[in-house]
Amino acid sequence: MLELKKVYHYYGKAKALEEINLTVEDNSLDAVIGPNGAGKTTLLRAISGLEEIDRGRIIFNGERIDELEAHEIAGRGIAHCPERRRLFYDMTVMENIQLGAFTLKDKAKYSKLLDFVFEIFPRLHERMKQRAGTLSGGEQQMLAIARSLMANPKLLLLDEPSLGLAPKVKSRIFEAILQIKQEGTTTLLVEQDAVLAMAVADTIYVLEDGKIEMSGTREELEKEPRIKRVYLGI
Amino acid sequence: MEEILIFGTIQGALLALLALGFSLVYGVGGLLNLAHGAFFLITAYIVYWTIHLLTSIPGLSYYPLVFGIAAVVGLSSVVTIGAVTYLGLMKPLQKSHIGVVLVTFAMAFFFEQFVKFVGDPKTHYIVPVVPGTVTLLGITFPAQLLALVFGSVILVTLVTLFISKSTIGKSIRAVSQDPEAAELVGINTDMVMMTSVMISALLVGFAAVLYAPGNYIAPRIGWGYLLLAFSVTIFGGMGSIPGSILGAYVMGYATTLTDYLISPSFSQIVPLIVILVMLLVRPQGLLGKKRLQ
Ligand SMILES: Nc1ncnc2c1ncn2[C@@H]1O[C@H](COP(=O)(O)OP(=O)(O)OP(=O)(O)O)[C@@H](O)[C@H]1O
Ligand SMILES: [Mg+2]
Repeated sequence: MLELKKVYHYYGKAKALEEINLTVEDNSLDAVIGPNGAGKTTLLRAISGLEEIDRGRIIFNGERIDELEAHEIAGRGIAHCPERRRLFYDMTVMENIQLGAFTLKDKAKYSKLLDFVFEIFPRLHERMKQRAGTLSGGEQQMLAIARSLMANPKLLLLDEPSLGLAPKVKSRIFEAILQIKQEGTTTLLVEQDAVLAMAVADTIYVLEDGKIEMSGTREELEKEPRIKRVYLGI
Repeated sequence: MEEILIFGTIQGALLALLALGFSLVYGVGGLLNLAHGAFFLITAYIVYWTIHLLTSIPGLSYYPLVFGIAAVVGLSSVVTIGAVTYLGLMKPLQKSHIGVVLVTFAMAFFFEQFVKFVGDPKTHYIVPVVPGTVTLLGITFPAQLLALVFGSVILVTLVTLFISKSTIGKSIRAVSQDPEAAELVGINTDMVMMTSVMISALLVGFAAVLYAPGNYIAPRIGWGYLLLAFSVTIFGGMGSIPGSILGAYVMGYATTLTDYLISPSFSQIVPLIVILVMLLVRPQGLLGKKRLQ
């Protein structure tokens, strides 16, 4: 579904991504883990077109997308749920959800998706008319994911969906991520909490200092002494 | 008292047309368009030139028709100029606020020189399309100004409804709140910004079509209108639509009041005082959220 080939990105002269090779298969849930400043957010921003890459290619369903603009990439079916939520804070929950479906033309699909997001996040249903800026942190994160889902994406990019949330809310969000996977939406998840990420992901990429240092399934990575020590604390 | 009510409303209606678009463009793209007053100027001149041209055609003597055609020509030109300004000058420089300020400043001078060059530096008069006077509450004033008030109220209402209800309006609001998030849901932010500049040009164009007739026009008038738009927007809150409408009428009544209490020449500096005081005391304006960047 998605393929990155030798992708480089620089902020000015500072290298943020270096020779990134990454493949996301159809219907999989993959995760990128790594410490602060490793380049995880940059990686997602490069895929969704918010950052222009300096070298390499990004191919989505056979089409090269690295030269498209962000809104065109969204139109191709990639929904990026950004770091720190980035909701339309002065608009209501419902307006945010409607804007999520901006590229969706199919009315029947719209009501189906609406039912699905309210099923996984009933809280949002209760707060439809509330201004997004007045939601709690957890509710805002639910809304951010709901907004991305409303586009009926082929590929969902999630940037640290559990950041700053209480453990209970965190597990609610991860339950939702698994439900989304069951619905057949391919997902690429960025997560600092390696234990959580490894518990749900099919393939895990370890990003450090802009480079993919290791990748594999949970079983494979759990054998690596360095992963154990640095990421799993065992 | 009646004078203040009537002339304040007229002034407020004019200011609303001038400020709404200026504020919208700032709110959506952070673009400070110093050519906003020049849009008024160029519309007024295109209307004037078109009238001139049409009345030289034998048989075409019905003035409302002549004026109507001239208005359509003027408005479509200014909307086109708005689109071209965005695509050619603002979009390439979008990332630099000062770049946009400088290039639109230069453009305002360009239009001033342009009308001098194509026309002449002299003052001209556009005959009002609505003739005669009306008397309301014992006050007599040109009927053209009543058209200005009605036109302004209708347009401002339409634009406000359009922004709050339509899909394009929703995307305009989305871009003004978070352009990146808007791109991520699939909104073409460049299109949205271009549309806002076009709406803004249309509004200020209407200000010219409704207010220039019955008044004198000259190459330098753009700056005065820019100053008015600027001061109302800073007063009401940069980027706030309700703020610019409220600000327009408050300023309208306030300057009319100072006309009577102090003197009309004092009222000329009221906008400047408003800009200075607001920037120092409440930089976000009455209803604004964004600060001037
Ligand atoms: N707009 C920018 N301009 C310059 N440097 C940037 C910019 N954005 C990110 N960087 C730098 O690029 C590197 C990667 O940042 P990025 O945000 O991708 O990291 P991250 O892995 O998402 O970190 P975190 O876990 O803290 O969110 C960092 O060193 C950061 O300082
Ligand atoms: Mg990050």
